[in-house]
Amino acid sequence: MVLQCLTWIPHLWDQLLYSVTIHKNGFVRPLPEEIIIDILSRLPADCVLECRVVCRKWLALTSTPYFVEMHCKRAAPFHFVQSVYDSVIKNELDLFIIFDGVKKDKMIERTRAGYMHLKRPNMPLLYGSCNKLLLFRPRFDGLMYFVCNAVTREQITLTSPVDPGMLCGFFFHLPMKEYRELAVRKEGTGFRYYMYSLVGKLGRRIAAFSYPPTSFVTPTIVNGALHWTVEHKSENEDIPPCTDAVRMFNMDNEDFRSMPHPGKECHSQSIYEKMCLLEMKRKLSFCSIYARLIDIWVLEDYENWYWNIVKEVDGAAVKMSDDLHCFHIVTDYAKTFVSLTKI
Amino acid sequence: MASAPENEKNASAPEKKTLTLKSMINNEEFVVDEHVALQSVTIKNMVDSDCAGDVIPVPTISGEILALVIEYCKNHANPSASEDDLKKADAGIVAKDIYTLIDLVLAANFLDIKGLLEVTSQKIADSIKDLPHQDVREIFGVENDYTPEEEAAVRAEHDWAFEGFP
Repeated sequence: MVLQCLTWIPHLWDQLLYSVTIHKNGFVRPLPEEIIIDILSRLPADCVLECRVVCRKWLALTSTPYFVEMHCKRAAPFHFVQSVYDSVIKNELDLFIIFDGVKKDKMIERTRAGYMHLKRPNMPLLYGSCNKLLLFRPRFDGLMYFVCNAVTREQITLTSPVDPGMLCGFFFHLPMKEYRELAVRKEGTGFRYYMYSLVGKLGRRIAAFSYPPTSFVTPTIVNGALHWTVEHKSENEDIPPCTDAVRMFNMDNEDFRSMPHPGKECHSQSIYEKMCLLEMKRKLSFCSIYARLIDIWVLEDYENWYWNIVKEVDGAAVKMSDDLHCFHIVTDYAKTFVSLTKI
Repeated sequence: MASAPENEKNASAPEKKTLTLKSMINNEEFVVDEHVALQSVTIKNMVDSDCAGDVIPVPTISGEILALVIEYCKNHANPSASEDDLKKADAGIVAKDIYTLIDLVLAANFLDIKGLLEVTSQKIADSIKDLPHQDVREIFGVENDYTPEEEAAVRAEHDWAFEGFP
C-alpha cells in the first residue's frame, strides 16, 4: 500500500523538471511533449507549418507518422467543387472549397484559380486528391499536371516521367514517406507503367498490361492499393474483358492484379466509359450507369471479391449522397463536368 | 436542476463523502464531494489504493487553477446537465488568457481529467492558430535553436506540401 502511494513521485518528478523557465508573464512551465503534440494536431495544416519554424523539437514532433495520423483524423473535412461549365463562358475556372462544420455563411470559399496559368482550352480539371493536395490535369492531352495544396494554395507542376505518357496515379507511399506518381504509356500492343518518386525524382519501369487505366479520374485508394477501371483501346475498339475490368496496384509490393467488375457481364464500350470506382466508408465501391440508371456497388469482402449492390439511383434525380467519400459525375463531358471530392 | 426535492437531498446526505484538495503552491484548500473529485483519474487511483488521507495535497497547481478544475468537475458530475449546458460551461472555464490555459492544461494532465485536457488543448490551439511563430515561441517559452539558414530551409521545404501526410 505504501508502494502504491508512491504513485505521486513520478508526477512530482515530472513537475520538478518543468521547474523554472522565467518569463516576463511569470513562470512558463514547459509542456510535456504529448500535450504539445495534442495541441498542434488541432491546428489547421498551414498553422502546423508555421509552428514547425518554432524550434527543432517542434519540427520533429510534427513530422512523425503518429502526429500525421492524428492530424488527419482531426482535420475538418472539406469538399472541393470546380465549375467548368461556368468557366467556359467566363473563360476562367471557378473553384469552391466547402468546409464542413462551420457557419453557413462561411461555408463556401470561392477561390479563383489565379494560380493556374493555363488558359482555355487547356484549363486544368480537378483530377483527384491525395490528403489535402489537389491534383489537376490538363483538359486535353498534355504533360502538365498540377498539384496544389488546398490549404496553402501553393502549387507545383508535375510532368509525366515518360514522354509521351499519361499520369494515372498520385499517392502517398507510407513506408517511404514520399509522394509518388504512376504513369502509363503505350508500348507496342500494350501499356507500360512507370513509377516516379517526387522526392528522388527517379523513374523506373514496372509492369505492362494490355489495356490502359481510365484517364478521367484518379485511382481509388483503399486497402493499400490503387484501383482503376480499364479503358478500351482507342484505335481498334477492342473492349476489355469484363473479368479484367478492375485493375489494382499494390503500393507496397508494386504488384498489379486484374479483377472482374460487379454486376453482369456487359461487353459494351459505352458502359465501360461510364463505370467508375469510388470510396465509400473506406470500402471500394463501384458505380455504373446503364441508360439513366446508376447502380452503386460496395465491395463487402475484399479478399473474396464479394460485391453487394447498395443503391439504384435514377440518374435524372441524382443527388449527392452524404456517405460517398469521393464521387465524380460525368453527365455530359462537353457541358458539365462536376467533380465533388471529399478530401 | 436546483429544485430537487428536499427529502431526497436529506436521504443522500449521510452517505456523501467529501475530500479536501490542497494546493501546495498557496495552501488554499477546497472541500469537494468525493464523486466530483473522482473524475480525476489520479485522485481516483489514490482513493482506490487507500492512499488518500483527509487532505489530498496537490503539488504545483495553484489555488486559482484548482478552482477552475473543481468547477469543471462539478459541472460534469451533475447528471442533469444537458450537453449544451456543459458545452457553455466548458467554454466559460477556458475563456482565459493563454498563460492560465497552459497552467490549466498541465493541471488537467497531472490530475488526468480527459475531458478538461481536451477542451483546454482545443482552446490553446484556437488561441495560437493565427499567431506568427515568434509569438508562439514566446508563449511556450521555447528557444529558437535553428540557424537562420536552417529556419529558411524549413520554411521553403514545407511551402507547398505538408510533407509527411499519409
